[in-house]
Order: sequence, then C-alpha cells, then structure tokens
Amino acid sequence: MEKLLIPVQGDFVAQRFDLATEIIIAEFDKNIGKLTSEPKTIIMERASDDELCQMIVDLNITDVICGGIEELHYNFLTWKKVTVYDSIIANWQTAMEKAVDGTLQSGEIIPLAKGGQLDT
Amino acid sequence: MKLHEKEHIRVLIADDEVEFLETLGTRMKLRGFEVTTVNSGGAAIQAVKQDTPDVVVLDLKMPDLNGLEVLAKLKEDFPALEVIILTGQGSFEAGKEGMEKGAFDYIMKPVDLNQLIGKIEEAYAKAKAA
Repeated sequence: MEKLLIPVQGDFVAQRFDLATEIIIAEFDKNIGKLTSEPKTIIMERASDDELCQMIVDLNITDVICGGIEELHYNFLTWKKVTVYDSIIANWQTAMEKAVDGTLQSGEIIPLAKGGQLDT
Repeated sequence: MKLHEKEHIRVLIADDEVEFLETLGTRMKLRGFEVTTVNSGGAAIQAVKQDTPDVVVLDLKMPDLNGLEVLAKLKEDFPALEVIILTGQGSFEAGKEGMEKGAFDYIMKPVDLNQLIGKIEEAYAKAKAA
C-alpha cells in the first residue's frame, strides 16, 4: 500500500513546497492503480518545509507531488526512499489520479479541463 | 447531504496564525459552513457578543488572551455555547484542561479537516438537543 502527499493551494498543487499550509494525503494501491480510501485534507499551523518533511517521514509517505522544492529537501526525501514528482503544475486531483495510475512524471504541466470548478 | 450543508452551521474560528486561519476558513466555507474568522482572543469574545455562532473553534495559544481564558469568559456569558479547542502538538494536557473547563472537545494541529468537521457537527447536534 502506498501513501501519497500533495501540498496544495486551493485546487492546485502548491507552487512551492515550503509555502503550503494545506496538505492532501491519499492511500493507494499501485498494483491496481486505485485509491484505497478517501483523500484527507490536513491544515498545518504554519507553512514549513522542515515540518512537512518531518510529517512525510512520520506518516510513512511513499510518494510526494509538489511544485517547486528546494534541492536540500528533495535530496532528503529521495534519500528517505520517497518518490518525489516535482515541478508539477496541475489541479491536485488530476495529478493525484495520474500518480495513482502510474503515469505522472516530474515536470508535467496538466492543463485545467474546461468547466473545472473548485473542489471542497 | 451532510448536517452542516443542510443547516448552515455558523462557526467562529479564532487563531493568531493568519495563514492557518485563512486556509481553514476557506475550506470550511467550501464545505457549506458559515464561517467568521478572528485572530485574537479579545476579538473572539467580541464577535460572540455581537453575533453568537453555533460553535466556536478556539486556538489555545493567542497573544492577548489565551484559549483557556477565552473559554472561561465565553462559558461564563454563554454557558450553552459549544467550544472546540485547537492545540499544538504535545499540548495534550492543555486540551484536557480545556475539556475540564467546559470545552466540547479538543483537536491537535495539524488539523484533519474531516475530523474537525465531524466534531463541529457533534457539538452543533449537542447544542441543538439541549
């Protein structure tokens, strides 16, 4: 079972890992390419890349989707065997779906579907 | 349809962390709550006096009056008002103290939005049943 974390800003993957106060956490099974539970929304007390890294380790997160991330934190996470999809510009739900089905790649820019609306 | 979507539960959130307050307030509005946000203990007391909400979500650490002081004042003036305390990591004892002083419950930060919403709905149901 894999666990995915996405720092978000509104409907989108947060532009910067260190400035996000809102996090989505989802569990999925990569063998079947599906979520195994409803994604959770977590609101952090303040934006902090160090606290976010600590949370990723504490919660045994296996995959992170983010926009910009400092090299120091990228290296730390990959050293901890976390798969980091960085430089993603996308609606977080679309990026999550692609990560779950194994088709997301770092650097992807996913245009917003027409008629897209704010998720709750 | 969830309880808060049906009844438009009015929630006051008091926290001095502005980013946290804005993010939480926005998410809760998107879930159908009527949300008012304030960033100090004094402003929380003032806001409740002006327009009493259904439920108050109160941070423990604020610069003027801390959450426990605000809770005591609110319970003195509005005994039926339900208050949920937000505590930082490792503030388990303070959360317990809040419950002893009449808080409905406490939740640790970082906040799981669904967990907080569940607690707010429970607090609202309790207030309505009283």
